[in-house]
Amino acid sequence: MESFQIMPGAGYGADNLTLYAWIGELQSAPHPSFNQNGLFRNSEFGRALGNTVKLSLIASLITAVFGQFFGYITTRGRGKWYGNAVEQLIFIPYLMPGVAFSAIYFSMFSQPRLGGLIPSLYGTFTLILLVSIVKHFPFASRSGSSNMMQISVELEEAATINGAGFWRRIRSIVIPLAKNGFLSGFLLSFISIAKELDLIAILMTPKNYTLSFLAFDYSKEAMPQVADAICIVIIVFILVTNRIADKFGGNVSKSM
Amino acid sequence: MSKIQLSHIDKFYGENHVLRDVNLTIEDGDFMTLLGPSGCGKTTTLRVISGLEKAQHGTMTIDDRMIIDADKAFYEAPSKRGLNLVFQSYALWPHMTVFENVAFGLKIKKMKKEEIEETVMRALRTMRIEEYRGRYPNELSGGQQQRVAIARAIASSPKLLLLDEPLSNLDARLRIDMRAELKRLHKETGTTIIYVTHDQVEALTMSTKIALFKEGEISQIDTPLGLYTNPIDLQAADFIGNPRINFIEAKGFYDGTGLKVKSAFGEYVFAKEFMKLDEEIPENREFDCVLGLRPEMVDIYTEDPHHKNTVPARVYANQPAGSETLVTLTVGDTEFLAIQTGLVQAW
Repeated sequence: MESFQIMPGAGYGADNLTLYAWIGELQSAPHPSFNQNGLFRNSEFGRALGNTVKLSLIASLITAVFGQFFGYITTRGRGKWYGNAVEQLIFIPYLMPGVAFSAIYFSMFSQPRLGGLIPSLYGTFTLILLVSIVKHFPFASRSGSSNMMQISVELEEAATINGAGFWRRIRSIVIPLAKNGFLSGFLLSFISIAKELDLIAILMTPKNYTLSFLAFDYSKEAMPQVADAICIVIIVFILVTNRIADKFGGNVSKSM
Repeated sequence: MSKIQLSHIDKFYGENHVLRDVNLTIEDGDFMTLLGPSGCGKTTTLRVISGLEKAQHGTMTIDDRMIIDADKAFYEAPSKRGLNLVFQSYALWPHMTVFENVAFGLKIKKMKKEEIEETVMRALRTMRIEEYRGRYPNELSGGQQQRVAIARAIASSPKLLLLDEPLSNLDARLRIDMRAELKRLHKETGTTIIYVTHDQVEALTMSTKIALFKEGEISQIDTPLGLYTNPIDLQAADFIGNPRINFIEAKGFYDGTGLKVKSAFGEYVFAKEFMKLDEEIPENREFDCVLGLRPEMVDIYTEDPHHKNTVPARVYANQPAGSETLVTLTVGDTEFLAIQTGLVQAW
């Protein structure tokens, strides 16, 4: 509701309500504390929305794919060295605070290394994408494990006996059966990445602003109404994506 | 149809020695049952034969073709062994229809579409489920799913059909129907079948031969009747037969001409020609022994029939069960069970 107020905390009387935070123009600002256009008249918002959609969709898609793959390795390799190794390695990002984790990536990619083999990625969307993917591997892989545990090994063994090789088994048996679990894993990472802030804050440059960082920026500039409006947009974006995934069988409550 | 030979198969899970020097020959067209309690290694043997597990030692041949030579780390791929397996859980692919389940292996073999259609329908007809071709597994009952699993296994015309406790998830009535169905399948196709079960009734009613497993070893291989009438040891005798065999403590004495056995039932002499003389028998001294008496071998008379092999007994309890009556009897302190056909008057 604060996004419709002129002065936060001054009540919800008609004289304190406005749509400025959404569609207002600077010359008609109802209060001097507003120093930028409303959300839908602000070019920064469009770019941040685009970045958020791009980042959350691409990162959660890649995370979910790898999560299922790691889940497959850890469940099928349970008790074997490679299954245990993957399970341990995958969990490391979970142990670190988001800021510390991005600081590692910040220093790793601040300048070209190994004679340019590892390029400098600071200021690029790729670095933010990379950090978001790796940080969310533990959740996605856990979701992948619980998904793969529901696919009986015997289903694969039956395919093996009928002559299916590894890729044929994955294509014809595992992927069709893992579809719903994949969507649930995707949603789990997606919701987290769409509202991510601390993880990517220190890697932010103006052209890579995401909605959550923009909201943070506005609240710093004493425009909490616009920041709130952005939060509502983020929630709507998450709900819409959730609804679409739900139509295809994804359910975030089944992903863990 | 094919002959399978397992020689000196050993299998370990870590330190756990689950198969110990397993030697088994399955003749062409046999219905061989691997029988034993849970954890005795029968399913592991089946998985080794199918190629889903690798033995650490030993060899296996099918029709003299080397399939496993563990010492040379040679293991033929499961799909190239000419066999198929029916899992205990059926392992039907839930996202495929009955037709697609049965056709899966044939598509991998790159058979022509018309040929696949014909082969699948033949398998479905054999298992009498052609009307379910468009259904998904979760739209079928347990018995129908079982038939689909078998149809999928026989569609590729395997030389060897492996069945891993396929009836254990069915109710008692359906189990009897499916037993008959499997016997018919064996008779019609002539395929060599290896069947794993812990249910002795399944083993006795369906098999041409039974391999009895005990703690990772095969303790006896015989025909069902051979196993029932001449079990190799007390455990085998106790495992086979329902109701269980009676064990009666006795004293034996062998004088080189016959075995004299004294028990609560009196004295009985077994002639030398009925004895297994390859076993070590103490001569000219008394030793402890156990008499095994199948419940159906006991006849009960209410009046003395004046026969030398009768002994007076008291009825302790009787349990009429319609087609048969179980009667618990005592002779002195020895309690034993007898089974009589039909409804016997309660004494």
